[in-house]
Amino acid sequence: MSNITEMIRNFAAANTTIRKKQVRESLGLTTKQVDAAVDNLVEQGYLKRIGYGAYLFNDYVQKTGPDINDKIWKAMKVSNGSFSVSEIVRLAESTASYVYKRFRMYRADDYIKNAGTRKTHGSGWEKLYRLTKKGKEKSNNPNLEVFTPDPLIMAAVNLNRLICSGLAVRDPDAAKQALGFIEEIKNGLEDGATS
Amino acid sequence: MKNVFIETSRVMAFREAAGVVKDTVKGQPGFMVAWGYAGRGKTECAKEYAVRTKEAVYVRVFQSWTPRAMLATVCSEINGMNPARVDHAKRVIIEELERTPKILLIDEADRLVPGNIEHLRDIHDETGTPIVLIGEPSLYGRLTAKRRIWERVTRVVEFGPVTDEDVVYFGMKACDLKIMPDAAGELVRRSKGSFRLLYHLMVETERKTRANKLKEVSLDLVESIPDRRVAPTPEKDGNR
Repeated sequence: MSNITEMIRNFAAANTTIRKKQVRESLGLTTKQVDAAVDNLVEQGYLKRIGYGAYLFNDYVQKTGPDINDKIWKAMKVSNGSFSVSEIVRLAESTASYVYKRFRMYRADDYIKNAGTRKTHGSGWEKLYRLTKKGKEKSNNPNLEVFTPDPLIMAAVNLNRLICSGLAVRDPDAAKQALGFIEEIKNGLEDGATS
Repeated sequence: MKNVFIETSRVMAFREAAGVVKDTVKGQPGFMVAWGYAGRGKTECAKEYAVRTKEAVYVRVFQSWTPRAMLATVCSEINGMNPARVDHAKRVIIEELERTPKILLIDEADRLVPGNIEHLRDIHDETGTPIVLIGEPSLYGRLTAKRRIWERVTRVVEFGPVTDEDVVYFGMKACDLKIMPDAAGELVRRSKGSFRLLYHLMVETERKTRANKLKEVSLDLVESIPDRRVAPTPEKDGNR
């Protein structure tokens, strides 16, 4: 992602809804630069067009993950109830070692849990697993990406809101909040300058 | 025995037919039916197709499903929502399918009541989404009872009984055993064409070959396996 696109993504994340004109004026970009970046962000699913020149930021974006992981998630989903590693290997056309590796991670993240064992004919026993409630939810959108903008940007935008709306002058609580944002911005800039 | 998927001629026919209905344009009939008796591999084939096809959505019908239960399950499989009303669920499904076209695989469709099949027809008509109904042959009666539904069925795949070639291929892939043609014929006869019964027969066959250190399965070996599924012996008057 180019610097301009990243800049506009952060700007949109901080403001929720944006207009192209507003982006141009606030970030000092040309019409062509904004058009290209906004088109990219719409294509990637970060922005949704809601009107003429107006866009809504979408912080949950479904990314295309590695094909094999999608297949493993779908295989777990269609195997109603419990499933074994060998079943997932067969359905997802993967290898046992890779599926075991993924299962270790899914267990650690609490997406699957043990569901007993089953006797296999000839090779002993195999473990059975089951999707947890969290896992069932995850299986609907295995590659969901949540975008969180830079905290420095968020602090600047929030400070801007408090100052421009006049709240920081009228309300003592809002003034304290604004001072907190100023402190945050100051620390962020000092850290950036020293590193 | 290894956990393998046997690509039989029925599996190929299923994939080909599903590929054709998937390309159906909106407004054209796009129902597909896959039927066969229990243990013929319909569900395994549907699951395998669902996992390998990104747009496929697999739904298994439960007994006594109401329209709301069916539509909420379809909705949950498509976008994770669980609407409480039939109308809302149907609208969400239609909106979602219009945005991202998918193919619906409905397993155990012979359990669907006619009203639920009509709901699926609505979804198909509104979105052009191809719908694959998988079930036992009793599904035929339900579909032909209403002409407007049967006319939308463009492809039918029948999951027939296991063939000798399937048995030989299964033995080779799952058990690393060479099954003689006459032994394969006997296994087909005893399994009554069902993959489920064949699996259990193959477990016993594999156990016997391992005990006898054999690599080939002969007719004698298959005949020596006792029938484990005998019918109850009728009581005679003298036995009392």
